[in-house]
Amino acid sequence: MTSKISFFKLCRENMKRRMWLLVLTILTYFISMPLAMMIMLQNEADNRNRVSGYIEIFSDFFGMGFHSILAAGFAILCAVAGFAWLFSKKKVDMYHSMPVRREKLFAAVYLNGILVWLVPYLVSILICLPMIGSHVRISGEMASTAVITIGINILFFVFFYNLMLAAVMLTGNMINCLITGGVLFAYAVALRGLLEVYLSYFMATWYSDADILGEVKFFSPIMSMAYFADNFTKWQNHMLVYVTGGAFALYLLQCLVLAVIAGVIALILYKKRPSEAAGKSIAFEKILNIYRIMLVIPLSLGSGIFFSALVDGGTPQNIMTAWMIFGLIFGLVLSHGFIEVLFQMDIKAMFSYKRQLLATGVVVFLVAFSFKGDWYGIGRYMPQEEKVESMAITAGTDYIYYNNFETDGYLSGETYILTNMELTDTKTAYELAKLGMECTGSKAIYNIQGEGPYICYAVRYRLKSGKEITRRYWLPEKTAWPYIEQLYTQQEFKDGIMGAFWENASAATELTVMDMNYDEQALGRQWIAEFMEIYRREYESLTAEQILKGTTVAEVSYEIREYEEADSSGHVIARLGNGCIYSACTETLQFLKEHGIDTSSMTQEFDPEKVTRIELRSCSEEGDAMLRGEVTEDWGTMVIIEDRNEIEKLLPYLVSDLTRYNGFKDYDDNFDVYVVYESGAESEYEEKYQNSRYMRLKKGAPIGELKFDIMED
Amino acid sequence: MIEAKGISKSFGGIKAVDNLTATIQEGTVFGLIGTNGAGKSTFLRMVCGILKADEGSILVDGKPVYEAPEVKSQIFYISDEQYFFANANPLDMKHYYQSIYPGFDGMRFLELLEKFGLSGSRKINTFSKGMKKQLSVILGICANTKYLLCDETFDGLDPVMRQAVKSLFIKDIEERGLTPVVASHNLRELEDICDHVGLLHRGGILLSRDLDDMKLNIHKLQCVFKQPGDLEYVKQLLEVMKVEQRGSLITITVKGSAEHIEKTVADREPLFYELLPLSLEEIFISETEVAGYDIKNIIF
Repeated sequence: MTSKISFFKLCRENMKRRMWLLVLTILTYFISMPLAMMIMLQNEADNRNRVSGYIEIFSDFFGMGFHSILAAGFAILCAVAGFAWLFSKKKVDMYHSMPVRREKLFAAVYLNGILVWLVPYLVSILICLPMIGSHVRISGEMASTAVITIGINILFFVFFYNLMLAAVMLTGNMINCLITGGVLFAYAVALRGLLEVYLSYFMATWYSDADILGEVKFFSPIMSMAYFADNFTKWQNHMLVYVTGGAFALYLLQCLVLAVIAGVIALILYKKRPSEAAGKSIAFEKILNIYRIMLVIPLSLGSGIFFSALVDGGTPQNIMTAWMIFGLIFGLVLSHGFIEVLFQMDIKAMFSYKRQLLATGVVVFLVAFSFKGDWYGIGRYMPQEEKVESMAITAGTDYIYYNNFETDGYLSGETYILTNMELTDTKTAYELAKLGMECTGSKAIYNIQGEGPYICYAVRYRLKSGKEITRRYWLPEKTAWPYIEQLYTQQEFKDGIMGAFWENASAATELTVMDMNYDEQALGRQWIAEFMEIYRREYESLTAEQILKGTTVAEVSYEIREYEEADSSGHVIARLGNGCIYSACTETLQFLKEHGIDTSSMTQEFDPEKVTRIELRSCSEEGDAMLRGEVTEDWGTMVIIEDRNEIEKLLPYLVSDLTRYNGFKDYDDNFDVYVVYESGAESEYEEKYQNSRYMRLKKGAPIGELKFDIMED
Repeated sequence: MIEAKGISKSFGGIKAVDNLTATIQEGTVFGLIGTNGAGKSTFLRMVCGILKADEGSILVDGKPVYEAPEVKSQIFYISDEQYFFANANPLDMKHYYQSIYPGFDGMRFLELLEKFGLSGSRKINTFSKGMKKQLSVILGICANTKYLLCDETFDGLDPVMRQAVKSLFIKDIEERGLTPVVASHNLRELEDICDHVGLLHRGGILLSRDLDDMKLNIHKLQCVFKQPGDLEYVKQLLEVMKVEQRGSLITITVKGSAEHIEKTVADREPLFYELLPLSLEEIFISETEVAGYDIKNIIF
């Protein structure tokens, strides 16, 4: 009798066992691809811009998105369904008594798990291609992007599949398999997130600018996929370039290597896995203790911070500490007990490992209090002045945003400043940082809040050693103000805030000015350079008082487009915005006026006659108390003021919502304000939505003297 | 030949098989007796390569069995709860095993299905427990392997079916040297099937004997002697294992040939004597008591 059993026969027999999965995959892909595409193409047929609609459909079906998530879902399903027999003693007895080497059996089931998804997926694509191809010409770039994306979906499928297989091999029943799968997929990111939470919560000076996604992208296929999706738009524009040589190619290679490693680990675990593991919680008893500790410590720490954060920020510190201790103990006991019950499937087994519970508890408390007490000196750390080469400081400034689609992607104002400001004269900035350090010190975030009119600012130290350290400080406004005034006299400081705005201006192709009504007006392209020159000159001459305490009357934003012969509308390379025009920018406003921009709303105060209604909504307990005279459980009280006399009491306090970006505007942040104008519009809809705007209320508004009706839910 | 040499196997600190040494000769029906938890299933699962022994070795025809497909192809294992695919019928299972065991005799499978009155197209999950056991045995027989390991397979089979299976075994033993190994906790169910019996207890083998040898060499003698000293005389001349007395009726379990025992007893001219055969159960009781075990606590 021959002992050689054909691999093909094994695959065929195994496939018979999972016909249900094949049917499910075929059905899912039939609905989500050819059928969905048919409906979408049909819907697009009457669209005037149907060509761009078809291109969008193409991107939806052959880009990152729903089908990537679907692939990941099927990877998990295929892995679990393919090897679920390992959880049953009866099935293991049958399969492992067969005269087949385990590697061969693994390979057959493994391959089928991939094929059961891959074949319906590829067939659906082959059906969809001519469908979309008959409506729109598929360019080389579109085709290459699609092929690469399909390849990436397959890669991520294998990555998810292999890691889930490792979870199957590690466990002996379905519940623990799914939990272990979750742990493998999310543990690293959860741990990194927990570290960030502890640092941020206990150290007010901690500045969270960590690229967590980037850091953990190789620790979980979910993160790898999210990281890829995050960069997809950037890479998509030049997919082929990136694939053939850029960081993208290296990234994909790294993902592939990780997927292969996960697969090899799964195979090794399968070979090592004893048959008697079927039905047990964990296949390898030796790892049970490590596994338990790995779960209990972060869960307990998470519980500690959760309970501490549950109580109000104004609660005395010792009470918050008591809540944290309760949370740690609660989390420790509960997670330890729960995991043990899960592993042993016996409620009586909750505390089978009391010594380990105790030892883990000691570790949990040490870790928690090491952060709380800043034993590592992270919160208190401030580099010596002589070691600092340059600094960047935000100091309550207005921010621009900078979105370069070709290079860095979106940069918020704060990120932009911290990245680009280079203060070589660090004296003032360092003094301000030092004061902030002395004020903030190693306090926890909950000790800073509510202590008075503070400003918050971020500081980045660039050390001569090449290291960069970023911290956030709090300081009373009065103490900080002289230093901030001084900073605004430094050219490097202003360049650090607006540098990109000036540097890219010469390439601007479209510039818009948005007034306080949020109405946007475009400046003629031929005037952009001259405008920017005037605006820059005027901005650089402004004082801190004029910038930070003056009124922001308009915002400037512009785009840089690249035009090609075939594409008259061009494509956007970069967008920059939130360039504030202050009331002191008289030359700039005059220039705009002379070149076709209606600046009336920028230069004039409100016409009280036009306001017909003011809606105030409290956005804090304090705001609620001011409106109702008492604190309610769910703040968010809304009042409507329509009486002319009452409206006039508030009008002097209404300021532009454009002030929102800097920390020195003296407005009351307890309220959201919505102002409705008399419009003369014919419909109520127009009156409500076209002649209204969000505004702010300066501090000191006579809320208590107003007569109004409270809107109840 | 299957040889187990000092094998041990533990599950989570509990020893299921402890330093077990046994030999199963070819061409015999080997019965493996033991209580629940004695280690029968574990032993069989090690023999067919499902489990790996923690210590010791298992050789099948001189070769290690674990992860050795060529050796495993000589073994068919019927577990105590044989797995059949969901919604499968006997013909589906035949197709499957045909692809796994190239020597699988499909024609004979169909014949046996018919003989046992089982429908090839009926879903197995509608079969009774006994029918599933019959199907397992048929699949095992038709796989045409040299060794057929049956774990509690005969529990639930009625006597007629047991005899039918026994005749199948005998036929295959004669024709192709099949060696069935049958594990059970029930002595009575094995008595009419096995040639050789091994008794497992607490993971170790208490004894392993040829059934005929055991039956021929151990007897139960019931007699009534004339003189009180006659019993002592018999005890001195025969290998007496156990004596029970109720009034004047003495029951003696004794080793030796029937002729020798009869001659020895007849010399004392008893008022009455009768030599009775022992059931397998009685033989085990006697043997294990001699070995220092109270069999009633082991098996019953």
